[in-house]
Formats: sequence, C-alpha cells, structure tokens
Amino acid sequence: MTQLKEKKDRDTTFSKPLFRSPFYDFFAAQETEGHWYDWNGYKSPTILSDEELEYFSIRSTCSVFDITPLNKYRIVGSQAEEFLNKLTVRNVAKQNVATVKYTLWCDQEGFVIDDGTLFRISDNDFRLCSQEKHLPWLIDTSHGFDVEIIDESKHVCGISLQGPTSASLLRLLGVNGIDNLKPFHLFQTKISNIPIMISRTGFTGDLGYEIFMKNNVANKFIERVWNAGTNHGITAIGYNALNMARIEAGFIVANIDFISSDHAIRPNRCRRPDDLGLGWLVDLNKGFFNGKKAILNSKLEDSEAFKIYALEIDGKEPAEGSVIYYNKKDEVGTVTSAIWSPMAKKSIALAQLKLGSSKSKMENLWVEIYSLKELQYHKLMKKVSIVKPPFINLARRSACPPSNC
Amino acid sequence: MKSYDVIVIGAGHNGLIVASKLAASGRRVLLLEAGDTYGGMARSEVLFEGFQAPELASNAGGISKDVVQDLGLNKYDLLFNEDGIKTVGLNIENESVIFGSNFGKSIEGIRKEEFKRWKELREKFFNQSHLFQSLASQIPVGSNHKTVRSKANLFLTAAKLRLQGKEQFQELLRMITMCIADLVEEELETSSLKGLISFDSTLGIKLGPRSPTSYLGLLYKLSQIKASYQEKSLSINGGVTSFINALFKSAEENGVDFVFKGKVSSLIISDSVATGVKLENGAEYSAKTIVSSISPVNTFLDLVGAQNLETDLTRRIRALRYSGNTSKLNIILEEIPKLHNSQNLDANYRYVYAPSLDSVESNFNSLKYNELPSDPNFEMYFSKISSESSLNGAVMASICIQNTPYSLKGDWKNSKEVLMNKVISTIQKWAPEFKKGILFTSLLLPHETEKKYCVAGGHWHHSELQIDSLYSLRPTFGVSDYSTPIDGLFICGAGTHPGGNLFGLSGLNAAKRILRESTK
Repeated sequence: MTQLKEKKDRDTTFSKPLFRSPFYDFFAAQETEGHWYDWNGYKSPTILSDEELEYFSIRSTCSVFDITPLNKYRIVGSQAEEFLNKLTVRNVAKQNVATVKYTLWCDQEGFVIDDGTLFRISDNDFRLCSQEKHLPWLIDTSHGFDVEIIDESKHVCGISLQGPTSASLLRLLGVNGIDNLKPFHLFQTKISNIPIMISRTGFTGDLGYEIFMKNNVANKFIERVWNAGTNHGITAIGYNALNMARIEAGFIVANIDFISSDHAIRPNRCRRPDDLGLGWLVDLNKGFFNGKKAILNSKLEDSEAFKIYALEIDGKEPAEGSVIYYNKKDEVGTVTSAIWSPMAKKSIALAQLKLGSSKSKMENLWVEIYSLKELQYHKLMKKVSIVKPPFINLARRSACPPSNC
Repeated sequence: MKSYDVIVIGAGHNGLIVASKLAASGRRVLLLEAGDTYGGMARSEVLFEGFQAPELASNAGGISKDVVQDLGLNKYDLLFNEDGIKTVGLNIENESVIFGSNFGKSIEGIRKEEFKRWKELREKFFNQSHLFQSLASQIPVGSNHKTVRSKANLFLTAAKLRLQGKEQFQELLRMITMCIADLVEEELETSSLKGLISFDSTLGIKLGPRSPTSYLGLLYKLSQIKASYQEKSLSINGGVTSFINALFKSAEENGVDFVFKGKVSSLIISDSVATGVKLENGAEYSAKTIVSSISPVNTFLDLVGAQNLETDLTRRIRALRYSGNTSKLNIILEEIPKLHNSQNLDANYRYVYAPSLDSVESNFNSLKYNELPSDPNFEMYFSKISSESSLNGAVMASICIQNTPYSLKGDWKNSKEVLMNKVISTIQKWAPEFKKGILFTSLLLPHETEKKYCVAGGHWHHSELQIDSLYSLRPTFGVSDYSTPIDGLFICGAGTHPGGNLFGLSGLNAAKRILRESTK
C-alpha cells in the first residue's frame, strides 16, 4: 500500500524521482506546454500554457501558483520567540500575533544563509517558510531553548493567489474579513468548511494572498477556487511568470541573486545583509543573534564586498547573465536576474557589483549584452543606471480595503 | 554584589595556576570551587577510616618546568621521585619486562639486540616529540589570535623541525599519523614491551594501538616527559598532593580569595559581555575578567548557555568527543603484597598489565562497542600510608583501568563488581596474597566521575586528545586561544591547548594570554 502511494506521489520522468504536490493533478490538467522543472524535489511548472498570458494574469486578473514546494517549518514552544530571535536578524519580540515578516538568518560570519517569511500564528506558534532546506540548522540552533521544530513541508500545502481580482474572488468565496486584512497580516478561516490559513503576502509586488492548508483538503479547495474564479480571469501559472513579477518587485532569490553561505565554496561569494540591501532588517539593538558580532564588526571596516543593486538599462534587450563594466572597460560585476519589464516598459535587472566606496563609479556603468538575432550575436554596450527598487509600485498592493474588481 | 578583577571558576590545578599568576600581577582574584576543597580531579578525598588521598589522579607524571619556575613552586615541598619511576610490564607466563625510567632509557628482561633496536626507536620517538614540546608553551595561532609573535613562534617550530635534516623531517611526516602498532611491530619482537608501549600511547584516549594516529598519543606523552621539571616525575608517595598544595599556597600567598561549595550556575552576560557569575546558592559576584577552568562543554553549554552563542560554535562544542574511557580502582591493603616468587613488591615501581599489543587492541574493541573488556588492561601504583594514620603499615593500590565505557551496553549494576573482580583476579595470579589483604575497595566509573567532579563525560582531558582536537583545534576552532566569543570570558582547563594530565601549561598559557590582552 505504502509502495503504491509512493509511486503516485513521485514522478520518475526526471533523472531522480520527483514528488508531486497535492495540487499536481490540477496544474497538470491546465498544462499544454509541458515545461516542468525540479523545485525542491517537486515536479513544478515553468510554463503551463503561455508565459506572457500567465504573467499578465498576475498584473490584471488573478493567478494561481503552487507554493507547496517551499520548505515549511513549524516552531512551537514557550521559548519559540527567544529561539527565533537567536536564529533571525529581525526582532521577533516586535512581531505581533497574526502577522508575517520577511526575514533573514546568518552564520557566525554574518553571512546570509537564506531568507524567508515568518508567520506568527500565536504567541508561541510560528511557521517559517524558506527556499532552501534548513532543518539541521534549526534543530542545532534550538539547543538550549524550550522549543520544538517540526518539518511540515510534506504535510502542509499552499497556493498563492496574486492579482487585482484576487481579493474579490476570495470575497465571492465567502471569506469574511478579507477587507480588513492588511498587507503582511494573516488569519485562519474556512472556505466551504475547508480550514485554511490566509495571509496577504506574495512574491509579485501586487495585491495577493498566500493560502496554506492540510494536504488532504487540497483537491477540494482548488476545485472550489477554480470554479468560482471563471469570471475573475483566474489563470494557473508557472515559475517563469512569477519570476518576471518578482524581478519587477525587486525581490531577490537565494542561490540566484546571491549564494547562500552554506552553498558557497569560494569565501568571497558570501554576502552580509547590508550587501543584499537588506541591512534595514537587522536589529542590532536586540539581544544576541547568530552573526551579530560579525555584522557589527563589518560596519567598522570599509566594505569591499559585492552588493546587490537594481538597474535600469537603456534599450529593450534583457540583460540576463551579462557583465557590467565601469567606463566600458573595467569589469565590476554581473547581472543575476533580468527581464524586459512589461509594466515599467524598461529593461530592468538585479546585479551584484563591486563599486567600493566611491560614488563616482555609479555614474559611468555599462552593460555588455550579447543579443542573439537570427543566429548572429549583436554585441551591445548599453548605459546602466542604478535605481531604488522596486521597479514598479502598485497602489493596490497595499490598499486596504482592496478595491472590488 | 561583591566585585573582583578576576573570577576563576574551578580550583583544579589549571584554575589554581591562573588564579595565582593573575593575583601575582596585582589583580584581585576570586577562585570559586564547587567541591569543598581545592585540587579538582587531583583533590584528596577521604577514602577509608579517615585516610585521605587523591581518588582519581594517581598518575605520577611530570609537571611543566615553566609552571614550577613561573610560580616559584620549588620553594614549597614538591615531592619528586629522584631516581625516576620504573615500570614493570606484568607478564604472568613469562618473566616481566622492567622498563627503565624516562620512558625506557634502560630495559631489563629483553635480549641485547632487541634493546639496541629499542634504543634507536626511542631516540626517534623523542626527536619527533620535539614538535609537541615546542608548541605546548605557545598560544595557538587561530582565528582571533594572529599576532606576529605567535606566527613567528609557529614558523620557528616548523623551521627547527626542518633543520633536523630532510630525512628526519620526511620520517616525521611519514610517522606522525601512523598507528603505534605498525611502528613497534616494524622494530620490536618482545610481546610485553610492545604491549606496554601500546598501553602508554593510548591510555586515556579513545584509540587502540591499531587506530591511525595512535602514535600521536605517545609523542604527546614523551613531550611532557621532556618538558617536565628536571625531567622528573612527581613522587608516587604524595607527589600529586604536594603539587596541589604548593599551587594552593602560592595562590593564597598571592592573595587569592577562595569560595568552596560555590558551584557556579550561570554567567551574567549582557550583550555578549560577561560581567559576573551567579552561584547555585544565589550569591553573585562581578568581575571584568572571568576564567573558566572547567570543561569547555560545561563552560559553553551550561554556564554561558547556547542562547548566547553562535550556532556554529555550539555545534562544534556538542560534537566534541568527551566521554571518559578510563575508570579508577582504589584498593587499600593491609601490607605490601608478596609476589608469586615470594619477592616483595617494590612500591616505587609502576605496574602495567598489558601483556601484548593484541590485548590492548582487543580491550579497545570492547570499548568501541560499549562492552566491558574480557581481560582489562590497567596500570597500578602502590603508595604507603603514612605512619600517623591508624592504618599504619597499610598501602593503597591506585589502579587505572583502561577502556572502561562511559555508557555500558546494559547497565552497571552487576558489571561494576565484574570489572573490579577481573582486575583483582589478574593481580592475584601474580601476587597470590593480594585478595586476602584487601581492607577497602572503591571503583569510580566515568559517569560517576562526571557527577562527582562536575566534568562533562567524566573525561580526564575534558575532551579527547586526538589529532583533530590539538593546538588551534583545541577545544575547537575559534576558541583555541583561551579567549571566547563572550568578551571577558576566558577558558583555561584541560580542554584547551595543550591540556593533559597535571602538566599545567593550559593554565599558564591562558594566564599569559589574559595578562597580554587585558588591563586590570
């Protein structure tokens, strides 16, 4: 029996067998393109039908994205807050119940191990979601605290509903209280008697919600949402569409825009929160936390490290993987994520650059783009300007109550 | 809250050395001890009818000449064995080998050619032990400690080794990670001699003679012989106590305040700075500098608390191998027992039962699987009980039993008796009157040592003395220079470099480091 179940949950078309999320059958039914990839051991869609349509559903209607492959850790116990204050750089004591915070955790050198979202479900009950697996690190960090760490990745599944009509869709589904749900807040409710935890969060910079539930109710839930969403333009999407939206929102991803310190082999690849532009998360006034001493010390020295910058690039060519030059000749870094932004109508990029302390270099940056046009490369040298992320700023993202459309 | 310049935790020999040395520099020093007297694992306990002796430390090894000179200990009555201690390798079937002092400078009971080969081998061993000897008194170069002086010292050590010549240097590199079994089997043939050397290389360390790197255990031991005060061992009769008393007097004369039965429950730490200590009885003391001579496991996990430490460090501390593997059997006898050939035992000898290399190895095999050895190896000293005691004429046999598991498969309830009887019946074979004369026995197992002497795992050396936990990896990377990530907190116990026995350099090095680093 167990063997049969294993077979059903895993997909063997990849070189290693991949898990199937409880939503797999639903997404597979929407798929016409057959682009799948391995996300954290799960068979996940890159593109389901049409990348551009999928992207525009995020920005103009309502998109459905499967976030089940995220690692989800439940942290429960009388010292859960103290434990998380040692683990992460933000001050968890300041995080209210029923809120979500974006956070980071570091090693002893102050180098970022990963980022993630921390859900405070009650005083002593948290959920931490992250891109990478961290169970050994969490358990080792919990030594000395009255806290239990439960890896619920395989027992809890999640869906992200993102887009301008997502709030009205949830209203239609009878979710009371959606109007009062502010960004980065959460509550527990039911849709057609299905218990869910719903939070106003997402990875798109748009109005949107993330909904977690037990695996056994996944099918019933998605069927209910899908049927209700016909008039709201509900569209199932893959990773490529989400990736475009997240670059526009200026969000970084571990092991794409920076190398997690426990993956980095070369010592100069590790990054501190300041280098990622996330220094504002770090609360140096709270008690001890992992990496505190190193972060404090690093502030005293002149940082020679690479830092992440948001860039706007002249012209229309996306600059994925390109090299950035100072004065068109000295290499200063590489582009880690880039697209042509349909919303900003610009070529935008996230890049890691080593500019040192002199501001003057920022004025004279260029990117070398190899643009493949009908089997011939056109080598372009385009002017780069450093901007403050996000690339797009949507009022509906934080409007409360969200408009009814 | 009473305030001091320095608080030292633990009145073992390293704690006493640090306290005395820092007090001599004019600092006001408080020494806190959980037990009711000083000496740590070398302290004297009442064993039988008011008779007191060190319960654990019988091992009459040497003490560092640097410690003796630095603290001026020779003005107190240190008791040494003037002629050195000879070792008898007990062998029931054949004649016993008598191993001369200074690790076999002379040997009785082996063939002439064998002795010639041994002489060459011994010389090589001592030559190579120079590496440890010269590193022992240095503060390890580590992540926090990279001064020009420490780097230069390390460079000079390497240069000196290289200057011994290419061949010798290559020989060192060839041998340094080898097992002692291969080395002695290459050169020697006398079974009990090979057993004895294997025993000495692995006593107190969780390795067998055939485990790679077990040769390091021997090098370590030899380096201590060389660096001992006048290359002499402490006397079997009261040497350990004379050393501990000398340290206490020295500390007292330098003005150290003592608090006994003052077990520290936690350090007072704010924002990664240690400012004081809290005792179990509720008392609190404050100081700018706190030095812990207790085990690194106890220091970091119990006193500092994982809450105040990087996960990286607590991971490494928790991964230390600190389960003790040696037990101590004390027996009080009516008189010195007679041997089977009706000769009297010489109380100035050390007796080792390790009849062959295979015997030591199979003992270790049992330890690996948490079982009792079927024929346990041990070393034994006899010390006369002074005439003032009511036990006039009696002797105490201090027996160290190698390879006693910390957590035995099954439980200790009956096994304790079994282990004790095994050892006694071995001695009995060779001294038939032994059992008859027994007045008192007590066996202290590793987990009992842990409880009684407040040392995690009950390990003599606080953590294994092996290749991955020496020098800048002792107790572990990042805290090897006696400082810790908690400002104001230093460590100086056996768990720090160079550690080991009653040598005392851990304490002295730590004191030097503190004097160099901090002002009053």
